[in-house]
Parts: sequence; C-alpha cells; structure tokens
Amino acid sequence: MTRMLYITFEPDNIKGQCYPNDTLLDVARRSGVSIASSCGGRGICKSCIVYFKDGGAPPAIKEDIDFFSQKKITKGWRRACCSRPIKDAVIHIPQRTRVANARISIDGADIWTCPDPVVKTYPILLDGGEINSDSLLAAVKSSYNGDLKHISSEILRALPDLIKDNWYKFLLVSRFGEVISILPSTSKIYGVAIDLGTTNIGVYLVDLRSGATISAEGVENPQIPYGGDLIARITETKRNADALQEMTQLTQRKINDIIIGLCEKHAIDPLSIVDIVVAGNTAMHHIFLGLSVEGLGLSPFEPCMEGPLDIKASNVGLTIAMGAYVHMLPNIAGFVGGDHTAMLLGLRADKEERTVISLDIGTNTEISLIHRGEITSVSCPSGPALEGGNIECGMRAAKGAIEKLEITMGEVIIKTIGEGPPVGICGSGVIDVLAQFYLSGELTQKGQIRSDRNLVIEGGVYFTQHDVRAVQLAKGAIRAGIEVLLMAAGLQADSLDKLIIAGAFGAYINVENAIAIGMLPDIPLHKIEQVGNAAGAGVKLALLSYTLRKQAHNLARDSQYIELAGTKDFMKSFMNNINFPQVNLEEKQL
Amino acid sequence: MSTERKTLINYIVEMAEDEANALARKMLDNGYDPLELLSHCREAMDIVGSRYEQGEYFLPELMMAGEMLNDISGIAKPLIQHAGGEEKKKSLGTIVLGTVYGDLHDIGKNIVTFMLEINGYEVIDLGIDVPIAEFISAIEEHEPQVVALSGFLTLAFDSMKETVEAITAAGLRNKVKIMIGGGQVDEAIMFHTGADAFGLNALTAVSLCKGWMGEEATT
Repeated sequence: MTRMLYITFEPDNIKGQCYPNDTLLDVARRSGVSIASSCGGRGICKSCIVYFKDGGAPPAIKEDIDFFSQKKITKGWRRACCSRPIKDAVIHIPQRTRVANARISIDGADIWTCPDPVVKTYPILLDGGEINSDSLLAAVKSSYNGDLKHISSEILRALPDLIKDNWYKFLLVSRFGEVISILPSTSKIYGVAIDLGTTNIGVYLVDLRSGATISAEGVENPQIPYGGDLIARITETKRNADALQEMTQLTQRKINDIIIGLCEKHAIDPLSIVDIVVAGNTAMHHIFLGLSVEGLGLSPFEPCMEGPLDIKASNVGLTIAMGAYVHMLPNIAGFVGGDHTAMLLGLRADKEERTVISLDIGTNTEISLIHRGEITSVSCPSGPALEGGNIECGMRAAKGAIEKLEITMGEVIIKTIGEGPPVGICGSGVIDVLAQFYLSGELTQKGQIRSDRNLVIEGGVYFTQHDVRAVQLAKGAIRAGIEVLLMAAGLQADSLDKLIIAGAFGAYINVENAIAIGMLPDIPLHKIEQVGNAAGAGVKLALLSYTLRKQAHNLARDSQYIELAGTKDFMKSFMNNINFPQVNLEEKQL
Repeated sequence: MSTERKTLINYIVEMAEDEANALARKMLDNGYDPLELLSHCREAMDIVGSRYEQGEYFLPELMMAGEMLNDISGIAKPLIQHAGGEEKKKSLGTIVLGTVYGDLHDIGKNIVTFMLEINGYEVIDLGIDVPIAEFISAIEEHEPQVVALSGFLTLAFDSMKETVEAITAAGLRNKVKIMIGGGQVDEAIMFHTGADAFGLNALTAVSLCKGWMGEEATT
C-alpha cells in the first residue's frame, strides 16, 4: 500500500497531503497555497516553477529537462503542474511564483448620485401579541397603502421571533413589494457592489441611504489556481468535471467571507445588507452562478444568458439579509459582460455626446466606441502578457515587480513596486520594456532583438525574444480592436475626441510608451484619459440607483457588438499592428 | 532566367508584394514554366520559414508571404492545366485539410495548404469551422492518404479529438494518417486527440506527408 505523502510548502510552512498521482499543483490548490499557473496547469507555461529542497525531487519529466538547465534540474527545480512527488518533500515557492499580495487597486471614493435604491424601508410599530404573515401585512396595510405585497419565504420562517426580538418596533425592508428583511428600527441599510474580475475581485460596502462607501476591499480571484486567464479556466471545466462547481463555490465563499469581514470591521449586522450588485465579464458571471462556460470556449462563443438577472443571495451562498437578492448586471454579447456594462455606466456613456473610445485592458480587452450616441463593443483576445502572465520574468503587480522602466543615455532605470530589489516585471513594466528597448534601438521594428540575446534589465530580470512576441500579439490585438471599431464607423483615430483607459491596470501604464509600441493610436496626449476603475464606479451606481440600474440595462441592450474572431478585418488589422510603428529615431538606429 | 528567379525569390522574401506579383505575371506571360515558377516560390517560402525560426520574421511576414503565394499560385495554376499535351503532373497523394469546428483561425492552415500543394500534393481544403460530418464525407469522396486537422483555440483540441473519433467510427481510421497543427499542439495533445503526428509549422506538415506518401524527385 502506498503511504500518504506530506508536502511542506515554504515560505509559509503550510503542510498538505499528497495522494497518489497528485501533482504538486493539485496539493497546493487543496491546501490553499497560492502558486501561479497562467496556463491552468497544462504544462505549457513557466509560471509555476518551484524547487524541491534537500534532494526530494522526483525524476524530471522530459519537458522539464528541456525547460530547465541541467544545473537547475539537479538543484531540484521543477514545474509544480507536472511534478508528482514520490516521497515527503519540502517545496520552496520563489517569490515570482507566489500569487498573493498583489497590488489591487480599489477606488473607495464616493461617487455622486442621488440614492434611489431598489429597496424601500418602512418603520413599523405593532401593539404586540402573536404575529403571522397575514396579520403583519394587514397591520401595515393601512399605513403603507398596499405597497407591501408579500413576505419572502426566508423571512416567513423566522417571522415571529424576528418581530419579538425587535420588541414590535422595527424596520421592514421591501423590494418591489416583497419583504426581504426585518431590522431594528434604528438600523441603517447597506448594499454591496462587487466587481468580479478574472484576476481580482473588488468589493464595496455602501450605505444605501447616504450613498457613502463605507469600506472597500480587493482580493485575488480564488479561481486563479484553475488558470490565469479565462480560456485556461474554461478548458479546465471541460477537462475536470468538478472544476466548475469548485470554482463557483470558491468564488461565492470568498465573496461572502469578504462581506462578513467588512461587516465585522465596521460593526455592521450582515442582515442589514439588503442588496447586492455583481458585474463580471461573461465567464465570471457564469462561473459565479454555476452556469456552463463551455460555449464560450469555441466559436460562435455563445453565453448561456445575456440579460439582467435577480437571484436570491441565499442561492449563491451569501449570508446577508435573509430575503435579499443579488442583481447580476447584464452581459452585452460574447465575452463582453456585465463588467463592461458597468464601465459604460461608470463613464455615463448614456450621456456621452462626443466621439469616444473606452477600453479596459486585461486578458480580454473590451473596447467600446461611442459615436453619435451609439455604442459598439468588441472583445480582443489580448492574453495574459499585459498582466505579466506567460512572460518568463513576468509577475503580477506585487512587491518587487518592475512597474516602470526608462532608458536614458543607454542606462536602464527601473522603479519597482515597494521600491525594493526587482523580482520580475508586471504589466505596466512590460509595455515600458518594449517601448524603451525599441526606442533605444535594441529591438527592430519587427520586434527582433538585435543582439540575439535576452534583454537584460536588472538583478537577474530579463526579457526574452519569446516574451517580446507575446507582448506584440497582445498589443496588436488591442490596436486591431480599436481599428475595427473605427473602421466600422467610418472614422479615423484623429476624429476621436477622447480615448479613455479604464481599469486598474490601465491606470498605471505609461501612455506615451503604449503609443510608441502601437498599442494605442498616435493621438494627442491630452485626449487620452486614465480614469481608473470605472467598472467599480458603475457597479456602485447600479447598486445605489434603480434609475441607473435600468440605464445599465438599456446600455447593454442597445450596444452593438462586433464579433472579431475569424473576421478578415480584424485579422488584417491585427497583422498590420504586430510590428512597431515607425519612429523618427529610425535613422539613428541604423 | 536565373536572374528572374533570384529577383522573384528576393521580392517574396523581402515582402515586396506588388513587385513579386507583377514579376510573376510577367514571367508567366513570357512563357515561363508555371511549375518551375511555383518551385521558386517554394524556395522563397523556405527562406521565409527559416527567418521565422530565427526570430527575424514573425506572424505578419508569414501571413504576407502566404498571401503572395496565394496570389501567384492563383495565376500560375490555371496555366499548368492548360499546358497542352503534357499530362498534368501526377499528384503525389491527397490530403483533406481543415480547421476543426468551433475554430475560425485560418492563417496557419492556408500556409500549410500552399506548402503541400507546391510540394506536389493535392489538397482538399475544407476551410474553417468545419463540421465533423464534412470531414467524413470529404474523406469518403476523395479517399485521401492524409487528413490534416488545424486548430488554434484550446478547446479546438477537443473538436480534433471528436473528429478523429468520428473518423474511427466511420471505419476510415486505418485508411488515413492524421496530423494536427495549430498554435499550441504538442505530443500530449496529439495523444489526447488520437492523431498520428503533430507539427508546429508548415514545413513539418510537408515532411510528415513526405514520410507517409513519398516525395517527388528533386530537380
């Protein structure tokens, strides 16, 4: 009989059990140890490198031998996704491979809107005695003119106690005539806006009466171990029958934990959270609800559903007010989901009269063109490179990541997050690397490294030819998305009044460098605006205001969508934009 | 003329699309052997391929080269058939090829088609997003020696697998060799799909076919 193996993960010294045939990544996932796996553990990327201490490594598989130097193999370096331990082992996870503690930008600022939440409150004072559903509704009928039509089943079950506990003096919270919560009469009511991103989740706790943001928190999406990007996760659900359910549960549990944590921190009763709005891209929307994402992996890339949805919070594992609902903002089409709807609302696209391109850069980059009041959207497959994924020294935006890089007089000057020594490069740094090495002549216009060697940055951090190619594909796809939208409207880049870069990542990029590599069209800098997390702002608006929530539905419904996959225009434009644009420094380089 | 040959190859390799097309047309108008002209294109493509492998060229150049080859072969091919009494050169074998269902990528596939044709094989290109049934009926109709499945999306590997299974179920599996290609195929995916071989580029596709069906004598 084979004995159960025990694996210890450094530096946090977390122990995990290893079943026969488990990979290290399996053990890590089960034990709650964060190991990056951009490709979802399929053995095709390099993000999960670790080493076995004290000679505990199993024989290296062929791919690892090809991948690591002989010296590293001997030292015990392996990829976690393709190493199956054969004895108890101590694993060291190098900093670049860890995924925790990334910088997650959460904009907790208040936004101005006149609160007009979907829930209404009704102060009630009863005389006492036994109360059931009918007598309660009858008692409030006189004062509230039949506004309250029924009591949600979740409340019914607890009804007599709830009323007695509040000494017959309480606040009824109703949503379109349905009583969803009974609270102490002095209670405030709160809502939660959730920006469910592929990489990060932003959670905002909002006072529904004042509109004030009480608190905000950002965490990593717990689905990351199942794949760094959407496609990897979608593939995982097809490969592993339990993956969808596991991801759904992990996500719901994580969100619930954050909400409960925020409540504790601010001494708020979770039962006073009476409304939640969630915005995510189509895949996140589906995974949160437990809907199949298989249709999103292949042409014609059809989601299970697009329209808005209200679902009981208790149905999605959230322990807030018993009868409360979660509102899922509608998806637009394909991968363009509720997060983009939220962004459009956050930017108030419904009121936009100018000609504007807005984009949110990520593994899928959603872009909208607003022109003469019409909105057209596309989703570009930009891949994880711009988030530091599938880049040899790439990493998330965490401590030690090179976030800025400049080459002046041949000298490479870097800035790392936390100002410490460099550990790797994150997305904003990746754009700088390409632009600065191109402008300084070390990269050709086609993206070839002239020296035929890796681009050396600092402290063991470097950029390979393959990395350059990955970023070229990413930036080419984004630019092609912009061009297709402009073309469809018969416009040129110079007819844009504004180009708005939304999203946490977009807030950190150096726009001039993004133009230098051709990711963005060469338009005057004053026309380009980096607005930060517009989607987060949009979800909050949809939470606070029923009017704006309906506006979001209209935005999603009325947006046109262009499917890029397989279209000639996109491919052509993509190919035209993989190389770097001409610069006037060209002569100097030659 | 060897200078024309050199110039044509040079135009293609250096991505001078208009010049390459114009020269090819002029050469053919002057009675240049279309088969010979196509073999110059193959030479050019070999150079493009090696520049790609060395990192000098990237996808745009491959695609541009593919387009040029398409255009030139479009002019040259009808002339081959019209080449009078001389029987059209016998094909070395037949390949049914397409991008599997659910996947719309075609650049790589088009280059493979061209390279196989130029190497003397008859290629039945079924296009993109090809339903399984279409592969089956094409195999039944054309009786190819080789079936080539292309796919770039990760989930296309499952489409490949299903296509191979359907070929087996139709009783055609032992009549054909199956090769797969696309962005990220490897040995593991080859086993997953049940194919016989995989290739990362058009040159591999050609050498696989040569191995299976033989090649024409080098001139």
